[in-house]
Amino acid sequence: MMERRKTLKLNKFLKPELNIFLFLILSLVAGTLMSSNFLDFEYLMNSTTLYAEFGIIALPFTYLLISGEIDVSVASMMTLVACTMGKVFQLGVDFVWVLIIGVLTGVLIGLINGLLVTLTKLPSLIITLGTLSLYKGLAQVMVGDGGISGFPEWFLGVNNKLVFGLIPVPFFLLLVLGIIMEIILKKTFFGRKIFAIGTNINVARYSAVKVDRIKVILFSLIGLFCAIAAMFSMSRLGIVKYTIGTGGELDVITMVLLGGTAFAGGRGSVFSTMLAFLVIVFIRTGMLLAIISGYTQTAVIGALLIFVIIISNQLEKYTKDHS
Amino acid sequence: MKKLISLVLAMFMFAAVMTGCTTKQEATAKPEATTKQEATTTSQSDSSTADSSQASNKDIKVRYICLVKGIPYFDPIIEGMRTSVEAAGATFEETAPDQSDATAQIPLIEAAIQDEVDVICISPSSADALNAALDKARDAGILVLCVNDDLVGNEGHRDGAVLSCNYDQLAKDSFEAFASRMNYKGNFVVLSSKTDTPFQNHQIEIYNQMIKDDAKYKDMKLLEVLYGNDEATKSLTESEAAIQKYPELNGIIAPTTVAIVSAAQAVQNADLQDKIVVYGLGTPTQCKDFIMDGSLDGAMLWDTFRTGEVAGIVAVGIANGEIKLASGTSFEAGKYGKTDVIDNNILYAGPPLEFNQSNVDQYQF
Repeated sequence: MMERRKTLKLNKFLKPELNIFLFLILSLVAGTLMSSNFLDFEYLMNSTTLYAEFGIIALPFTYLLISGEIDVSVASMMTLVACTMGKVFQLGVDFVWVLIIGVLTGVLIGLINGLLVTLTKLPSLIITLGTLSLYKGLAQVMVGDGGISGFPEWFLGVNNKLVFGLIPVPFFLLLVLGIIMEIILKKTFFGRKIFAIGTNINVARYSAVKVDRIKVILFSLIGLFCAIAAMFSMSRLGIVKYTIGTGGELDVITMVLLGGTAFAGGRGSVFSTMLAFLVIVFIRTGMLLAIISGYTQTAVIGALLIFVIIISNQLEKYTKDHS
Repeated sequence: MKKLISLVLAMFMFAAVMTGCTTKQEATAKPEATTKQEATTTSQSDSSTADSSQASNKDIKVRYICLVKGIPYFDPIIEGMRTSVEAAGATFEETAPDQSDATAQIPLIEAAIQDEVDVICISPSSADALNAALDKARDAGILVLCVNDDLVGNEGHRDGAVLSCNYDQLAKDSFEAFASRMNYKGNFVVLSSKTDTPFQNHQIEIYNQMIKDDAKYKDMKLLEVLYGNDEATKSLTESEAAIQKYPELNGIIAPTTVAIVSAAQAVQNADLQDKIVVYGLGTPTQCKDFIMDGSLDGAMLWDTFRTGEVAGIVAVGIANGEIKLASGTSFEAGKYGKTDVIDNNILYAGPPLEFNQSNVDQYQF
């Protein structure tokens, strides 16, 4: 009896969140050891803004991965939204409308992804691999090789604006959205349906879960978040180009997987994704300050990803065996 | 829910701890900064003797942010810069992103600001996407110097630019060298990289201008501009096709390394070394074999080591106040002598350089 209670307590403790939380502490310690300029709250907060755009996309991406689908076109969607907004702005439209059009474009291209996946019944990897090139190509065709800039002053530099004088706006929004989305995921019917689809799609279907509808909603949600990310990157860079966001899909996937979300679906948490976001920011920032080359950084993050996934799988197996 | 709250709490605790650390750090960091400032002001006053200026340069930190990791072309630039910066007694560091996309250098610029370097030398990956980050560095009192490539159209976002040579002059010199080898008559084609590369298009524009304006070149005829997309196989195919298509072809001029090597290969394959002149722009290591066996008549570029060295001299010189960058002025760049600063604070590190059988094996890039 005592033994059982002990393992139960241990099980509660051994969650994927804990795993990534330990890595968060480790990354901070490592960063501090690598450079004396690392442990500077202001600078670390500022560094989050460099990656916050992908972090924001990683939030709904966690939902999607839990439901067993994937969307590799996220970075292209962000680029296409940004380029659409740039082009519309160039045509002389009022900037408030530019922002509204940006949101609508994001939702629309996300919706297209969702409809293509659910109507054709093809794997989402294939469909979104296609739209990855399609959206990026469209962005290039629309704005060409040059850049569009000259946005209004109030829109620029969102990464330098602080909430409570401490947290940059993009990171603050990431935190707020992340907490709301975690609560929705864990505490509502909608959240439970996402888990149900990812765990066993047929069971979900027989339990009267409208699988396709939820999937389309999730893809559209990603589109919406890509639009937000696009606005942040436009505001930060002050320019729109078809090359912004290149390769970002891998950053997003890394964050979500590092957070312990299962690739096959059915397990995961938005909160862990946020922690993983911080781990990546801290590791990259630490290595940047220590002037460690980009390839070493990529290799370290790759090794970390494999390590974390092995550990979280082992933990899951352990908790299953002992419950 | 409890778990969630506890995690949020833990994060805030963490944040609190970190804020604690910063205040302490700032407190210790500030006096250091003032001493550093004092050190530079005192050093400026007695920089007349070489020894003391060397000592005062000790606090100067120059960081070079290269375009992207792993391009051999940039190695001599890095080494040249290291040589001159360290010879002046200052600290040199170099770094580069692993991707060449427009924004990949931004985190590196941010890190340089955090590390409080004095000079950022940068070979920018984009002429416009870095503006905000570079402005931030300059606001922090850091000098921003473009090396090898400039922020064309956005010159206001950097303090100066050290370009390898005058690229217009390079086009003129290389075309003249090509024409003289063709004895100023005959048909030729241009083998370029892509249709939209500004550097190559500008070179070709100058060739055309020269043929039009100078009677010396009136017997030379440009048949076609071919594009090899900077791919070895495509460039080779294009050159071989041109040799087949124009039996009366006397020359191929290629303003890019990939193309010049492929053109030389095509001429060698067809065994027409004596009939077709191949000339253009290329790095010595890649052109070496073809120059040595005669299928390539020669190649031009610039001395990249010198580019780096001059950039290092300028970086340290501006940081310690010995050099003032202003258009229309000039300064002494160490052993390379008087260097002029032209419009937009641009300066050329040296003249175009020709590689031929006598000197091609002296350069390692």
